[in-house]
Parts: sequence; structure tokens; C-alpha cells
Amino acid sequence: MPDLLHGGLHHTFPDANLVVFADSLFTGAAEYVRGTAVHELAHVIDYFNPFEGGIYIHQVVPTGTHISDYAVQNNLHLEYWAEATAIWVYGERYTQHIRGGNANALTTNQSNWIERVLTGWGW
Amino acid sequence: MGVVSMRHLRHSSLMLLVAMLLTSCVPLSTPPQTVLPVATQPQWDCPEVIDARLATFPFGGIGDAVTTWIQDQYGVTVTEIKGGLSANGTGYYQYWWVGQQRYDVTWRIDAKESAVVRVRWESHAPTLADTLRCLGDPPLYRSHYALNPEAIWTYLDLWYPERGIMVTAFVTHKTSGMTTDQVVAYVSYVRPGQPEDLIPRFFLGVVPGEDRYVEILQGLKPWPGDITKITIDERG
Repeated sequence: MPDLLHGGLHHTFPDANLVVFADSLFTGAAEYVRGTAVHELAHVIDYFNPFEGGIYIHQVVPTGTHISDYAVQNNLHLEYWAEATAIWVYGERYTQHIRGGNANALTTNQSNWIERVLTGWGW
Repeated sequence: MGVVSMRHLRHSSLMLLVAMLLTSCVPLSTPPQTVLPVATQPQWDCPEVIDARLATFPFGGIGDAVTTWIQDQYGVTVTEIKGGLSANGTGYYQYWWVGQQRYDVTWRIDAKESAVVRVRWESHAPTLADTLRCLGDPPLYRSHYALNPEAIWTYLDLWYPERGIMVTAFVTHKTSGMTTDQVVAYVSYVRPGQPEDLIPRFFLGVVPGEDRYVEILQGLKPWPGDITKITIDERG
């Protein structure tokens, strides 16, 4: 599996309609498994629900706050949305127990924005 | 949409997956291969690396007291200080910029614990060598791998409890060691104290006695005197 994942862990492959979870995921704590699953499914929501005009959720999610190191690094501009969604679902269980405390809660504005998107008001 | 655990893939399914990946897939979510850039500029002046003003930050204050202090010390207007209440109602968050330095303050709304101020650099940042030169050897350090969804990162925290300072650097892949030319990700400032007291200050929401607290405490080690001699824990 490592060759397929380029030495990484878990990935969403939009062209293949596929989410892959490496075995290593299931050696982690239940919190990590849940949080990673939500993170990857947030990528799925992003890939398959563009706004009109081909604008993707990850391009317009309100950033600016340090919700996690991984979010701020924002590889390919995709990760802030996925991290924000996982924090929206799990709150401190994600920021403290999965991201090791180097993370922060969403602001109310961010939380409200994500809620609008996930409930279909945003597109 | 398939959700697949490799643990449960049969051989035929695995071959199908391989074929799909080789023929049609360009993963948008490829693992980060980047390493934070190594600084090439001359060494930094210490006042630019460690912000002495933050030694007087009102770590126990909330609201207007903090905003006023920020305005007085940094010459920013109240409209330049962004942030607000966290969505879960447990904390408050403010940030502002001074040049290319960004300051983030987070504190618990109940003010039971010290606020934490994190300073990061937008374009180029000092290196671990700069911080070691300016602060000296840290009494303690903590280094570990972090399981991010698509990649394993490597962290190094330098702890200066008597100053309430923690210097954090990370590389965005799994590595067997760190070097002093690694760029600093951010410097955290809290009210000084004993290491066990600083854990819930540096990591707001981590409660003494909980597994996460014990994990961090057990990960703290005396500085070996040489960055090449650090030990990286499998789990942080």
C-alpha cells in the first residue's frame, strides 16, 4: 500500500470515486479513525459539490484562523476545508486529541459558514 | 464512492484498485512532499526572533484588557485586531499583524488558564539555529511524529519553561532527525511555570491527568546538547 499512497496515509481519489484508508489508520485511537474519516469525506463533499461557475468549496471556505498546523499548511489549498469540517463535527475532540493541541476551535463565523454549506444552503 | 480498508481488500479488488489508480487517477489530495524552506538570509537579530514585549502580556486577562495592551504595544488599531468567540463557546481568539509577523492569541473564556500567544512569520522565518543562539539550549524538548490524514509529519518543540516559551518546528514528512537549519513554524508564549503546569497553557483544552496530558508530559526530555541526538517519539 505505501507505493500507492506515495508513502502517505489516507487519500481521496476523485477521479476514481474512491476513498482509501491505509491499514495504519486502524492501529490508531478510535478518535483518530473517526476524525480521519470525516476529513476524507469532507474532500468528497468538496470534489462533488462545486458551486455555480465551477467554484469549489475549498476555494471559498473562510480561512484566516489557525485551526491546525495541517490546515494552515493547506496543501494544494484542499486541506483547510477538510480540517475545518472535521473540527466542525468533533470540536475539541479533534483539536486536542487528534491534532495534539496545536489547533484551535472554529470561530462562530466559520462554523456558521460550514453549517450553511453542509445543509445545502450554500449551493 | 467506495470506502475501502486495505485490510479487507481481496486480491482481485486490489488489482482493480491498482489498475484504476494507474490509469485514471490524478489524486487531488496527494501527500505533501514539501519541506518548509530553509532560510538563506543572514542570521536573524534576536529581538526579531524572540519578542520581549510578550513577557509582559496580560496572560490572565480577557477582553478589553488584552485589546488595549495589544494596541499600546504594537501600535495597531482596534479594527486591525481580528477574531472573536470560538464556535464552541469555550474560548476566544484574536490575531493581528506587524509587518510579516502574525500574532495569534487564544484563551479559555473561563480564564482559568493562561492565554497562549503564538507568533509566526508569513514569508521567511528564523531557523532553529537562530532560536538556539538567542535563547540558549532548552532545558527540555519534545519530538514526535504526527499522524495527519494524508501524511506523517515530524515535530520538534524546544521548551523554555522558566520563560514560558516553546519553539515549534516541523517538517511535512516522516524523517529520522531534525537539523538546526530547519525553519521555525511558530513561537508560543504563556505565563512561565513548571513544565507540568505549562502543558495546559501551551495546549489549551488539554487537562491534567487526561491521557493526552500524560502523553505530552512523558514526551518531554532533557535537551541532549546536540540536535542530532534528539529522540523522536512515534506518537506525540
